[in-house]
Amino acid sequence: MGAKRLTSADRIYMVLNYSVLFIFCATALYPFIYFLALSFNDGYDAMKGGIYFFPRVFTLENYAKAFTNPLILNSFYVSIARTVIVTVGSVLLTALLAYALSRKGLPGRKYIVFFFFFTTLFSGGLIPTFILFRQIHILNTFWVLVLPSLYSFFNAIIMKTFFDGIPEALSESARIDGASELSVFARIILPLSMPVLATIALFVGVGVWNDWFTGQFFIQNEKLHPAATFLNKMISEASFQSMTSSSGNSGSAIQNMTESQLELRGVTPEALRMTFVIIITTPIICVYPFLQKYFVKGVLVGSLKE
Amino acid sequence: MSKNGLRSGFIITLIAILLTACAGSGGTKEASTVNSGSNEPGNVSETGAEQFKPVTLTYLSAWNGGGGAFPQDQENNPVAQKIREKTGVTLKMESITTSEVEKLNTIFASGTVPDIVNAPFWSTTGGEGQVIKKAAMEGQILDLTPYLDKYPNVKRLVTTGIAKDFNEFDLNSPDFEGKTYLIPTETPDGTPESIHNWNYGLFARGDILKALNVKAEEIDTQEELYDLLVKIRDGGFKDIAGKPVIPAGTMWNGWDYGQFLAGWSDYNISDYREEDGKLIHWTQSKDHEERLLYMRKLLNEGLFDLEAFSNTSTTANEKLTTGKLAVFGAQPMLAELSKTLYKTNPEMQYELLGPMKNKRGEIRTQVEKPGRSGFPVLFLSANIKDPDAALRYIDYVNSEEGRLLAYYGIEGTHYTLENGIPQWIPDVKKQFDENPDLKRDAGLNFLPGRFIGAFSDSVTWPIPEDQKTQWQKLEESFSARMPIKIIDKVSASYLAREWPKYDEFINKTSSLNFDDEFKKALFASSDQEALNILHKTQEKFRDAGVEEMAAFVAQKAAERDDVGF
Amino acid sequence: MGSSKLRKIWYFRHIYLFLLPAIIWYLIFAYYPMYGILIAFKDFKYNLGILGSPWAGFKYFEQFLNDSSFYDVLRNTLSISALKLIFGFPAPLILALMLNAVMHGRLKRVFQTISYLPHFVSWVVVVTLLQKILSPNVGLINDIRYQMGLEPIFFMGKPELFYPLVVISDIWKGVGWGSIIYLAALTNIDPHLYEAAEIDGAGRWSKLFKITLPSLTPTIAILLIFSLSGILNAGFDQIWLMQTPATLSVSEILDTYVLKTGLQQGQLAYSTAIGLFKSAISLGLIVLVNYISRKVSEVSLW
Repeated sequence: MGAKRLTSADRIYMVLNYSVLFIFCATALYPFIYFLALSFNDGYDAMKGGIYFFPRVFTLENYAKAFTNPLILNSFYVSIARTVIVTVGSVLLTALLAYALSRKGLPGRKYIVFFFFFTTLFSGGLIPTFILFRQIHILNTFWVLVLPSLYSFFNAIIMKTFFDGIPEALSESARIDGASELSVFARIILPLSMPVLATIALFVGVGVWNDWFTGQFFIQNEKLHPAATFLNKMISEASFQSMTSSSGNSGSAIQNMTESQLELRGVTPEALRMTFVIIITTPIICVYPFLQKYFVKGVLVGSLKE
Repeated sequence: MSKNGLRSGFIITLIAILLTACAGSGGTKEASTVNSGSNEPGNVSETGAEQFKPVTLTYLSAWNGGGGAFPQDQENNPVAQKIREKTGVTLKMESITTSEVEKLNTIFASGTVPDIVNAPFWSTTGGEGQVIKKAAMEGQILDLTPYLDKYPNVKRLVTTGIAKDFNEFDLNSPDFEGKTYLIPTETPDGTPESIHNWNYGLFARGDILKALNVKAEEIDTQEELYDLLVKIRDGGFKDIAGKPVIPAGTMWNGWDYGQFLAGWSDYNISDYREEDGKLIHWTQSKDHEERLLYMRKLLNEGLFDLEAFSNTSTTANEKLTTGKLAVFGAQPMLAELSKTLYKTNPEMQYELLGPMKNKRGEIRTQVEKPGRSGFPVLFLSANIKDPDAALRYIDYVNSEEGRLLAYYGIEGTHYTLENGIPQWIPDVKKQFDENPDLKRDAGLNFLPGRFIGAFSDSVTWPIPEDQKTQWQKLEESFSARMPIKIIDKVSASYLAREWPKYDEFINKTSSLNFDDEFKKALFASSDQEALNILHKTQEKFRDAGVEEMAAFVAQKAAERDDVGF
Repeated sequence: MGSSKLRKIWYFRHIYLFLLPAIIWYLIFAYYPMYGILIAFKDFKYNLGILGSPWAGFKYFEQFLNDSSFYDVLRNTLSISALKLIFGFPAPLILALMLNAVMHGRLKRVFQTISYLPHFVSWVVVVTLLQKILSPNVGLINDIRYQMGLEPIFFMGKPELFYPLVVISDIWKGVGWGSIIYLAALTNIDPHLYEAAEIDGAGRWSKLFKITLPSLTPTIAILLIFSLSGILNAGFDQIWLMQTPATLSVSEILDTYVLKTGLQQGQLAYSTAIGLFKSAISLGLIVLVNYISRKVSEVSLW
């Protein structure tokens, strides 16, 4: 454990490294500070612009509005259930697939890989998919949020690439000792692949958490809408209302409004959008530290040397 | 854990997942008619009043965000209860937050059309209207013709408040072979007063006008407008944040820059113009050169917002609410200002300029046919199990009693009738003001505009003078200065559809957008280049056949006496 | 030799069992709906369904291939994709390497978490922020210019600036999230290798080129192949929002063009045809690149 001598070149490099990272992260962080400020600011006041770091007219109304509908809590439960089930299920199933594809010498491997790959380029589109879901009766049910999200070729290949990097000798020696494929998979491959499993879990989890379209398009029952769908609906509806009331699609809309209705109504679609981003993103950011410990390599590599 | 245990555990998990994949769900219903009673529309009881079996119908509001009008309790809000009492029908409502066309295509293609649907219907040659027309012709929408006589209010909706030509060519397109498929809603009641005046025009900040000693009425030509903008630019005026004002601007995507070019407009109801004694397609008009150069002058001399055409709604709103736009043309946005800018800076109230004069020296104002051309429509699924229930619902809501219910709720609870005019009960009004969601949840937002047609609440229930709000009075003052010009003629554009090469023309020009090219030309590096872009575009239209089309239209128009341009 | 093939299959039987759920899933969810592609070749009628509708042949393909603007639009699309590939592809890798060099674990985690926040911001918001900074009406930069007595510049209206703005904002938004994979891959590299190199006197750059990059090659190659499959996409959401009339000559891409012409008329078949066209091109490209990659680096998809 000798002390490393830092050359001056090293020092310069370090300073450069840290500075660039710092500047980049400052720009990456700023939008969120901006959203946070806006989400706590009165919507109409925010329209005047000029808000950069702190709210000017503080209000909790935007959040209140987001939470007034009793269904929002429900939608979070749906989202959590969906995310957990899909993440666990998808990671396991995809790992299984990736492991199978990584087995050298598998007859027909080329064709099998192509079989999966082809689907990433060609798709029938929304309408046949809708018809399919209807035919297998998952339309308007919780399962339409789960089943179609279980596999992703991209994730499988990433995993496969990692599995390829695990020394063949490890699994071979286990197989010679009589271990089954399942054993090798579960006892050797998986533990050594924590970083990639955590990565894919993150990708899948985030992807499914943020997906508002599936719930919107394939589920009419509002009780089954996940949080993303629910919040997206609120924003669309707020935008629609403010558009129709101010452009008077139904000309009577303004006529019907009384004097005080035209008063300051704090929540604008813009403000709602900002609030939505904060609500939907905060849980994700909290999950990452939890997953981080898996980004450390598995400790079994050394065992080979014995 | 033993090797075997792990293996079996795994295999069991796999099988479990496979099984769930194949099995169905818990039996939640899809979009279909659920009848909690028999299908008989009515049994006449002994007293002679019809008793209706309860029926639940599915309804789709195919408008992006349209669900915002739905009450939280769809089944038991006061309005829904009353309607159920009268007709036996309960609606299960849904809406969308994505593209209307996409949703319509999906329901028609997959055969999952809800019982009742309301969707945009602007024309049959594109967008939603085209999809709806196709669906009607391909058997997805119910033919309502046999039912019309049974439901007089529905019949009235199908025949009132619709522009003659739209009626002839779109709503009752010859392809429909005389069948009625669509019920217009949000249509005027047939009187000129019921047509909504949008008050198109240019509006300028009052305090700026005052500082420049200019009376709003005095500005009514393009030259005077130009001079005014120059004065504003050089006058050092500021918005509420202390930043320099932009003399002229628009809302998002350039809405509504056309207002600045009023001097070249005319009273047109079609795509054709009479120029030099000939009928030409609007793209070929010589006016475009002048319009182009004028706008370029404004842009190049710092008189017009460079970002006007690429504003997002956020930036546009911001410019407006901070008083940054000295002059702009999107009148509907003024209502927003009463909630924001006018509160802090009432002196900045925008005033109507002019009204601007058009080509003929007459005021530039809204041109309308005595009826609406394009509106939301209701239609029924061809597979609906109980069409009478649906029509009964629509018919009731459009009766006098139904309309009062839709707009004002329950008499005695929400409103009272004074001289036949409904008045909000003061406490109720106060509650609704403070929390508009209460009004929505009482069921008072989802019917007007989507279920009601051939009606104008401002005409049938005029608000007494003393009850009009500031804003309403202001709007009326605008309308008084710019009365709608009503042209009761058939638009020549429809005649073009009979041209044999019409479909070819549509195909050739589907990717050609005159407005987009015009905007491109506005930002060309030189006037010469801009004119080149303009001329090239006009040439492309000529190549697609507009001259021949115009000649054909002129000929057809001469055969009728009710065609207008 | 037939029997040795069969014996091999028997040997791998469990592996095939592992593949089974995936194959079933793909057959149901991916292959079955593919008949929708036929819409591009048919005169689709609702009442006849996709399979029952009459054929229209290549009518829709001809329509857009004959369109005069088509080639300009294609050129723009490819230009943007190429630039994003050249400058955008290495960025996450570079960021990962930079993050890896941070000594303090806690600081590294903080940097990491912040770096992928932009991934969660929708393009609408990013472009709005961008407009605020670049606005000729006293946006941030022009404000500074104004103070210095300079004329404001309408940045987003300049065709020559469009591509740089698009690429930079795209990198800013995606680099943090994209670096996650590389960071995971970096943890897989045996630290003993670095120690051995240290002892041999290897410097920073030597370590990078002789150990780090070669270890990352499989990951890089695979990600590159995937990036290429999206070459005709160029980022619809972003471009749609950033277009201005002044830049349309360079900013009109395939997807924005299709939206303005095909889809807005509700022409399902037309937009499906374009989608098919894109997929076919991507397929050809990937087969080619996969082949090259296999020959050059032994790494390939199949």
